[in-house]
Amino acid sequence: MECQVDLVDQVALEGVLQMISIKNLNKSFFLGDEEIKAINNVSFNVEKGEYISIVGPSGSGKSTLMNILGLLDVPDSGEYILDGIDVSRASDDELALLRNKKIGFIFQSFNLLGKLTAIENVMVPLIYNGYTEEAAKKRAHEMLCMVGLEARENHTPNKLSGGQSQRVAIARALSCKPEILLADEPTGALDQKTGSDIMDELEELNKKGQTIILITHDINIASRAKRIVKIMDGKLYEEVQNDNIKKHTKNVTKKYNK
Amino acid sequence: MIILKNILKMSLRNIINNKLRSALTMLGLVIGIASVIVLVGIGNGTSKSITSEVSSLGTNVLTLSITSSDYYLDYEDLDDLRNISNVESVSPYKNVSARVSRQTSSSSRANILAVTPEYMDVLSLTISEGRLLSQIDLENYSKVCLIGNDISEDLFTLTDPVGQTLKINGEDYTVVGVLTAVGSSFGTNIDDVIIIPFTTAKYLKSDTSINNLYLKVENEKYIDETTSLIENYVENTIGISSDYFSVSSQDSMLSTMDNITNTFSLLLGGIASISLIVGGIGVMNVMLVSVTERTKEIGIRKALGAKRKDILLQFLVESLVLCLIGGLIGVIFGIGLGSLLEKMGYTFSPTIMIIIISFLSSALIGIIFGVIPANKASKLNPIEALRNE
Repeated sequence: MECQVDLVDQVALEGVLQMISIKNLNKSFFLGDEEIKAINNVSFNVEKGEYISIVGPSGSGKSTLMNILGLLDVPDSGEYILDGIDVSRASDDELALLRNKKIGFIFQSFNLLGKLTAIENVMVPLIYNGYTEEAAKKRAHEMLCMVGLEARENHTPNKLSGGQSQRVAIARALSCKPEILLADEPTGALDQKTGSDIMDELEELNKKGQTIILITHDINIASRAKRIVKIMDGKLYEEVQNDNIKKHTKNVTKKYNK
Repeated sequence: MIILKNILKMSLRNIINNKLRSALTMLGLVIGIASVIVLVGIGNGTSKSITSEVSSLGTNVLTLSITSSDYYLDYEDLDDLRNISNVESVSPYKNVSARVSRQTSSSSRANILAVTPEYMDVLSLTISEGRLLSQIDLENYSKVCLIGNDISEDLFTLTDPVGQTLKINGEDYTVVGVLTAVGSSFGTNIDDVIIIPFTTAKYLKSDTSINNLYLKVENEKYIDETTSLIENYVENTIGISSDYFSVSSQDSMLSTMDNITNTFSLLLGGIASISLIVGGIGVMNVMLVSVTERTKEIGIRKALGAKRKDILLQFLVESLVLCLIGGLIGVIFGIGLGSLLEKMGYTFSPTIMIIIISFLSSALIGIIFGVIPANKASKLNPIEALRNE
């Protein structure tokens, strides 16, 4: 069955090319009396339609960066411009609104609401977006159709396999036509084969114009992206070329700071 | 609006999904609301029946009572009282205790009342058969009596009592009439009464001094002036200190009664409200547990774009719906229980007002005790909430 889904706002695509612009971003935590710089003076840009992966071991500041990129957290200092809007000092409610309209999340553990059916899960962000019940249902059905799960839309997550659950999560993440799809270890809870299918799905979406940021600790998964950024001890290092991962590592932060 | 509709749907589903927990939480409120309705309804019913008894005496009747046994009125004083302007009739009465019997049967409940013929007029009593007491009975110290309907049934089961005799303290009294059955009237059950001429009481009781009397006034409008004139007469002409007697109208008794019964209703309602508050605390407790249990859900919803307001509303609506359902069941249960008590002989009279108030208070409890858990949920940090398992 052929599914016609309108994924990316075409008008928006023709506007500003820079999707994300981050300058001198800092975020610290206190563990007891010790200050930990989770994000240390990071600067980088993401353009519209890019497929970028951020790779790093646990404790590298990867999660903190993802939280800030995903508007779940705000930086201590620095500038974060998302789609032309300065979001570095936004209030909780403004962040919630921006998350709903601009960010689509895919989590390692799917994070579906267990008591809701697949279609109801996809409807949640649509309802917060202001869709009517009928419109939300229609859109959610289209989204599930896109990921090939229209036959299972009335099943609750415990009746779905891991791959199916992650597809529901993808449908949910894309339902409000987000500017950025933020995938946090999307294959972490899946077997090799299913994980690979999900990665194919993401690649397809990118080909249709969807900006994707993939966060992972697994260099093999990261290498599926067109551009790879490494994170170590709160600092970013750009991999210039996908094929020459190990050869051309240089500190991008320095470049942007000039 | 769309969000609210969706939240309402989710709340109902959550309540249904946790059937036992919801039912137990509601139980506290059901008991609270039902007891408010039952207790206030019964308080109200009692108050109503007292009021109707008091007012059945008529608002144009004054009661003069002498509270000290050292003072009393003479039979001659009554003429002076009768001559006070606006006084239509004066009727002294005296309760006498004596043994009443007829042949082998006796009546323990008989209440003997010695009165003048005017008593019948003052209390608007009528007879169903025979004749009333007359002035001649009074002057002749006649051993005649009128009997109440229940006494007639007790002592003269099948025979016509008029013309028959019954024994009061062993002496024969001729029954001359039977009172129309009226049931209980304030202070006295007329159906249980045996009425004898006031003067005849001397055979049963050593003194025939007058301590209590009813005064019927011609025009209700001047009842206050008449009261003053009577007080003035008793205090200055007869010389009884105002500390030892009182003249009261049914109106003043009515307002005193109203005060007492209102306080009574308020007290009952207050006690019941305490159980309502305890029920509310139960709701808060369950909602707090629910917030903790659903931390992850709150995190996910926030990540997907739920604002603080949306989360706050979600938990508030759930607590409100829980309380409204509990309140509704409580109202139904309360009215049912009240009707059952009414069948058992209590007067149950719930006002629409108290039903509405108690139902609304269940909503208020839902909001008041739901705010703290809902606020807690809405303030959760989405990152920490998402990390929660």
